[in-house]
Amino acid sequence: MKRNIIIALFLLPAILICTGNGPAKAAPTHDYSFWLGSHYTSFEDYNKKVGEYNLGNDELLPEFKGFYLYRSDGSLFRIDGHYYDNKNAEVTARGIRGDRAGGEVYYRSLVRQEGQDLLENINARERTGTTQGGKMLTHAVNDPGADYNTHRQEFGTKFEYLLSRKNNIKIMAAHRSILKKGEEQKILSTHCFSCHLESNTAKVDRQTHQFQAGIQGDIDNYTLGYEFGFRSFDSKADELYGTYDEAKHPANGGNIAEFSSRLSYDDTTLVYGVYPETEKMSHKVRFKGDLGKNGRFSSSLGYSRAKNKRSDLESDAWVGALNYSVLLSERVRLITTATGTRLTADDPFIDVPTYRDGMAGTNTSAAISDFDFTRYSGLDRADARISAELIMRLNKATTFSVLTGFNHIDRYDYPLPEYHYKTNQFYGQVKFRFRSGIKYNNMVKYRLELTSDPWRSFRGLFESPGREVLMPDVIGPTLFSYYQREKLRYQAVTNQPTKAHLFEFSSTYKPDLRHTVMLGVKGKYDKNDDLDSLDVKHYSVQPYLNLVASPSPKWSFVAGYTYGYFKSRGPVSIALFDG
Amino acid sequence: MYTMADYSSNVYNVYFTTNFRPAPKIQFSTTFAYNKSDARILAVNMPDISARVAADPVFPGELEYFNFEHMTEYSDLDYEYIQVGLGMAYRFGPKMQLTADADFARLNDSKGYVFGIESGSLFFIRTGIQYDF
Repeated sequence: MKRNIIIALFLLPAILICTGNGPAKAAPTHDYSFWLGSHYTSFEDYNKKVGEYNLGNDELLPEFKGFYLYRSDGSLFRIDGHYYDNKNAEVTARGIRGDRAGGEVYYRSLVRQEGQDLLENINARERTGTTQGGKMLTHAVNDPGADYNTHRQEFGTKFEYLLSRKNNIKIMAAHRSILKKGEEQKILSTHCFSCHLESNTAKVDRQTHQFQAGIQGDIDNYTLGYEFGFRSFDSKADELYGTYDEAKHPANGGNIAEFSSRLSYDDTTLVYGVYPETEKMSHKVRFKGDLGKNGRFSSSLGYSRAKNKRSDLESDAWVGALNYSVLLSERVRLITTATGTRLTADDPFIDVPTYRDGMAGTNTSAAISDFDFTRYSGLDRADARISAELIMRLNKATTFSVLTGFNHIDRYDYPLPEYHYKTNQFYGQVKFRFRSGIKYNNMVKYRLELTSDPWRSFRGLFESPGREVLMPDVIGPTLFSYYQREKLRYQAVTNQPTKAHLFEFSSTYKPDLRHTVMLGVKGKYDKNDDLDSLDVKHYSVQPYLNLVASPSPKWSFVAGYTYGYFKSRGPVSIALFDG
Repeated sequence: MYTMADYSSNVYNVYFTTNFRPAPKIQFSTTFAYNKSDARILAVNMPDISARVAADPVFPGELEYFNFEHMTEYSDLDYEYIQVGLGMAYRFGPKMQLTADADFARLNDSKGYVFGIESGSLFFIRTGIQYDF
């Protein structure tokens, strides 16, 4: 892969130099710079946080940087490179050949260290009377002290070529690949839903490839373009296997058949932590130009289809956008936008083994033994957004703008099949900006968002005390069952607000060219007024102050202070598990 | 079972950088950054379930042992990060200069996260020669 990058770096200038008929040549100039050195790194105590992107430890390593710039009339070629160590390096080459061609090739590499979840907060065991009971939550770290890190490499190319000056016909192509290799932690949840967690080391070998190609041209005052895109993701790493415990009573080891009959699988070794293998193809048409005497519009229509080849699931998306901007008078501009998205995804059928199949006392009613179901996609929706902004220059120094908009989301098959869950949001915003030459630049903004029926997780919360009926409302075996616990859920829950106030102020004071003071504050307060028993609200404030000064040509300094305070109120829920 | 609780976090950041060129041939630079962040769940007052315990027809007597007194500590985070850097460049002539810089960073983790206590220090020294053709 590195060899391909080197070849591309040499090919790019050759392509650009040989491309088209450039302007008359003047004497070219060449600038080079090269830095050669070394660095030494050492750590004390835990190094994965403080040295998250640094692998070296008690090592003296060579390092170098290089720079090259070629300039002539209408042409420019530049290379910047930095080698830090064998996992951290970057190089970029850019070139322009008049208005005829331009391109870029780059390679970036970095390594990231990752910590190991010790699972030490996963410990619980019930008490029955004064003794310990059988229901417990335990964990096992099978790879204690594992050294997780991933090496990320990204390389890409971008190329644009003017085919014809008549109608300004251009073609473009771009490519990007991201490769990740290393090791990571994968946690297996085994036995009965959440009773036993295991940590193992998994190999990482993920690849993302993206390709785009397009063409555009002008017809009179309009520009028409088309772009094709392809993106793929796959994991080439060896499969990771985990052992699922034999189902049995956790305290006395008995009732094996009974416990086993309630699980989809147990006492077996299976692959887990599998990544999807996805492909996405997209097509987009763009159309823009003048509309009316002082107006301009831009529009696009796109279609994409994504597929998970591993699960054979597909999704389709249509996206359309229309923007229109018009100068209503010398001092007033109107900007309007409208976007629409239609997203649909396959609904997979989940085939679950018959519950307590063949066990004595089983109620053969399909309602309590057959839990096959269709998992309706949460992606299915229609999303429409419109907005209008009026920007007015009140005088030479002051600008005032008013923005209003409406968003509508219609989620299909949610919370139940054939249902539609619709969210509407209205927002309004006013903004003042005051400028006086380069000395003062001040801005103040306020925004109000009103949302009806924001997204909620239906039946997402367990019972609260005080509910009159505590027992599962399913008639079935006298034995308590895991699935019956889900019936205890009844409260829709959300952290989304119905009303939000946002405020922002910024001020820049520049008494002269050598000094600048910037200060400002952002604030937000939101809450949900529609919940019957929950109290959800958020509050944040973020002031900042920055100083930039160059008192003399000999010295300069930059200083700053930022502070953020965030407070949220929401439900804290206890997961009561009981076999 | 649930109750309403407040979760709050604070993030502070102070930074300072200078560049000083006492003579055309030599330049110094310094950087300093201090970050502090903390987060916690404030009081968690779970509902009193004692009245329900006796009435529970299936598992009488079990629920009374639920204990939430340490629950507010589960999400405590408290990090402090200090970074200091010094740099120097000395120009031998119009085309060549010597550079040297050093960094020290210290992370103090008072509460620990799922990875355990993450306190640690980093020392870094770099020297080199630059040639401008």
